[in-house]
Amino acid sequence: MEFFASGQIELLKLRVHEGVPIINEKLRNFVSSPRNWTFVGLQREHRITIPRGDTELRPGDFVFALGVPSALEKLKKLFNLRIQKVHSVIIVGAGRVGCEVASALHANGLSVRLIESDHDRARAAAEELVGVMVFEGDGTDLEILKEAGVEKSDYLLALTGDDENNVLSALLAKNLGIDRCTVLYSNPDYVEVLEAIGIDRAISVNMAVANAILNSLHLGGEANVSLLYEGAGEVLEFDVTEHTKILGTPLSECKMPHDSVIGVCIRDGKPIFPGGDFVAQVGDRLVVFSLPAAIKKVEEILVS
Amino acid sequence: MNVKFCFQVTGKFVMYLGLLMLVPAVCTLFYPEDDLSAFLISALLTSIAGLSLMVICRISEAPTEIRRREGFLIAALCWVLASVFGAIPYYMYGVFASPVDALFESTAGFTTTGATALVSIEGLPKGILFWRNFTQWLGGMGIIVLGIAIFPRLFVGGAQLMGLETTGPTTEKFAPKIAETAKKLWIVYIALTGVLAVLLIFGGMSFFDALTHSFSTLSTGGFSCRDASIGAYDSVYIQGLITFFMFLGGTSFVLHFYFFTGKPGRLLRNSEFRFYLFFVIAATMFIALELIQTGVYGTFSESLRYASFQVVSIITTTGFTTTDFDAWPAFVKWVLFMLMFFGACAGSTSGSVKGLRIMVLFKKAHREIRRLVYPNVVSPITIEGKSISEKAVSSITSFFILYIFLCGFVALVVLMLEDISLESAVSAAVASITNVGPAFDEVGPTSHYSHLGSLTKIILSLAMIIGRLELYTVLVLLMPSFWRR
Repeated sequence: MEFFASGQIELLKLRVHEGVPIINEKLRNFVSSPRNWTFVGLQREHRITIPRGDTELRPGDFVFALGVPSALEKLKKLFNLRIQKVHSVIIVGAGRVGCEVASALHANGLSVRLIESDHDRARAAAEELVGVMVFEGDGTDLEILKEAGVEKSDYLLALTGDDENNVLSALLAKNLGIDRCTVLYSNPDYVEVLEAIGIDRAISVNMAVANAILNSLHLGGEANVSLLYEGAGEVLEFDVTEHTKILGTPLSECKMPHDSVIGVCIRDGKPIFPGGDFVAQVGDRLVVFSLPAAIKKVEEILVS
Repeated sequence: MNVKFCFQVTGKFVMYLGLLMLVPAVCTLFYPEDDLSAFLISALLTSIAGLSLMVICRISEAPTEIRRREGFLIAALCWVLASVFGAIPYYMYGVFASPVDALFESTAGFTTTGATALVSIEGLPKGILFWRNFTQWLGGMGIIVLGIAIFPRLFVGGAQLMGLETTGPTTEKFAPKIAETAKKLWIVYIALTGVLAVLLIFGGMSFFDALTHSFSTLSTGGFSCRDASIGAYDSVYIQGLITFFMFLGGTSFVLHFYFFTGKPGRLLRNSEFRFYLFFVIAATMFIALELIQTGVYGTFSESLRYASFQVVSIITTTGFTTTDFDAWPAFVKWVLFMLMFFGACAGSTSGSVKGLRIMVLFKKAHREIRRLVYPNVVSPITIEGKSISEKAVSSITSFFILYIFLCGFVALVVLMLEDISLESAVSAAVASITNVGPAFDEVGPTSHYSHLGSLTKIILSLAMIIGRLELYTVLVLLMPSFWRR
C-alpha cells in the first residue's frame, strides 16, 4: 500500500480471489457512486495493463485501485480481504531495516518480537529497543520461531539481507499458522515466484530504493513517482500550471497515451475521479498511473 | 609493578596520619586529662615511621601514572597501615592491655565498622574518645574517594557502573581528576558533618558529644562516646536527626554533590537511591508492625521510632543503637541480619554489598527464571535505561558469591577458635565484613568484642579491611600473577 498526494490518496493492490462477486463482470458495471476510487492497473500473469470499461476480472488477477482511504477499506471488504487489526508482529533480522521497523511498530503499540542470529547485533537491538523481545537464533529454525510465538502472532516480516532465508522463514511461519507474511528480497529473478508460492507480500529492496530516489528528484520539481512491480508500472504526480498543455481541453480530446490513465485529480484539497469530460485547471494535482512505455509521452504532455 | 613507589606513597600517607594525631592532642588541651603525652608520642612515632618509609623507598623518578596494580596495593596498604599506626595512641595510653585489642579498635575505626573491644567507654579521657570517632571520620573520607574515584577505575566487583556519574570513561591511567573529584565531595562531607553537629547542639548535646557523633554518623561508623550509644540521649529530636543523617551518609556523595549544586532532581531519578529508600521504608514498617504485634512497644509511634533508627543504622552499616535490639523477636532480628548484606548506595560511606549490586543481582535472577520460558531471549540488564555489560554483571555475581563464602569462612574460623553460640559467630563474621559493627547475642548491642581471643580479633580485623576494600582489592594481592612483572 502506498500513499500519494500527501497521503490523501492511497494505492491498493488487491488479489482477485475465487468467488469475489465482481468476477466475470465488465468493470464499467462496477462503478461506485459517488466516485471515490478507481481501478488504474491490472496485473495478469505478471503483465500489467490499464483496465478499460470492458475488462473482466479473473481469479488470480491483481488489481491496483487508487482512491481515498475510507473508500478503499470498503473495497477491501468486497474483495474478501480480512481486515483484521494487527496486534503482534515477528520480525526476522535485526539489521538497520529490522530495527527501524521494530521501533516504529513498537511505538505504535504493537507487540514486536525480533529474531536475530548474530549475537552482537541481537544484544545491540535488545539494548536499543526497550520493550521489544529479542531472540538470538536463526529465523529459519522452527524452534526459535515457535519460542518467539509465531503461532499466536498476526504477522511475520522477514527482513534479513538474505533472500532465501527470508523466504524460508516466511514459509515456515505460514506453515505454523501465521496469517500474513512480508518478505524483503533483492534478487529480481524472484519477483514472479514469491507471490505464487504463498508469500503475501514481497518487497524488493531495489525497487524501494529506486522509489525513494525518484521521489526525491520530483521529476522536474513537479512530480512524485512510484514504481510498482519491478518497474512494470509507475504512479506519477503532476502539478497543473498555466503552461500545462492539456489546460482547458476535455480529457477525451487530450490524446493521453493508451497505456496510462489519470487516476485522480486533487482540486482544492478534494479528490476528483476524472471522466472523459474532465478539464484540468491551474492548481490541480494529477495522480497518473502509467506503464513504462508510456511514461515519456505522459511527461511530455503533463510536465510544463 | 613498582612496589617501591607504592611504599613511598603509603609512607607519605603514614606521615600525614602522624600529623593528624595532633588533632586529638589539641582536643586534650580543651579537656585536660592525662592523655596528651600518648598522642604526642604516637604522632612522633608515626610521622618518623612514615618519613623513614619514604626515605627507604625513595625512587629517583616518580612514575607519571599509577597503574591498576599499584592502585590495589596502595589502597590495601593504606588501610592496613592506618589501622596499625592508629592503634598506637590506644596502646600508649594504656586503654588496652593487649596490642591486639588496640589494633582491633583502630581497625574498627578506620574501616568505619564500629565494633568495639572496649568494655566500658565512658571512663576514658576525651582525647581517646575523640580519636576513636575521628578515625571513623577519616575512614569515611577515604571510602568516598575509594568508592567514587578509585574502585570504578579498578573495576572492583562491577564498580565501573558506579563511576558513570563522575569519572566518565574509565582508563588505565589515574587522572589528576581524582584529586579534583575528592575535594568537591569532601566539602560536601565536611559540610554535612558540621550541619549535624550544630543541629545536635541545638538538641541539647554537649559540643564534644555533638562533634564526635557527627563524625561517626556521616562516616556510618557507629562509634559512640557513650556506653548506651545513641540510646543514652532520650530525645526524639536527637535520635530522629541521627537517623536522618545516617540515611544521608548512606546516600551516594555524588548525589549529594548534585543536590547542593542545583540538580536535586537527580536524587529522586537515581534508581539505586529509590531502591535504598524503598527498602528503608519497607523494612521499617515491617519491623514496626511486628514490634507492636509482639507487644515490645505499646504505641505505634514508639515502635516506629525504634524500628526506623535500627533499620537505618543497620542498612547504612553504621551500627548505632538506641535499644537492645538483640532482645527483639527472632523474626525482627532476622530482618536486620538480612539488611546487613544490603548496604546503602555505592559512593556512600556505607559498607556491605550495596544497592546497585543487589539490584543487578535481582534483575539477573529474574532474567534466569525468564530464560526457562524463553531460552534464547536476549535481555540486557539495564539500570536507568542504560544496559550493563555482561562482564560487569558476571563480576557482580562473583562478588556476591565470594562475599557469602567469605562470611561463611570467617564464621567457621570464629567458631573453631571460640566457644560462642552459632548466632554470635555468624553475626560477628557478617557484622565485621559488612562493616556494621554490633552483631547479635554475645557480641550484641549491649555487649562488645573484648571477650574474644586475640587470634579471633585479628581475623575479624582482617575481615573488616577485606570487606571495606570490597574483597577484590585485597584478594587480588594474594594472586601470584599479581606480583609477576
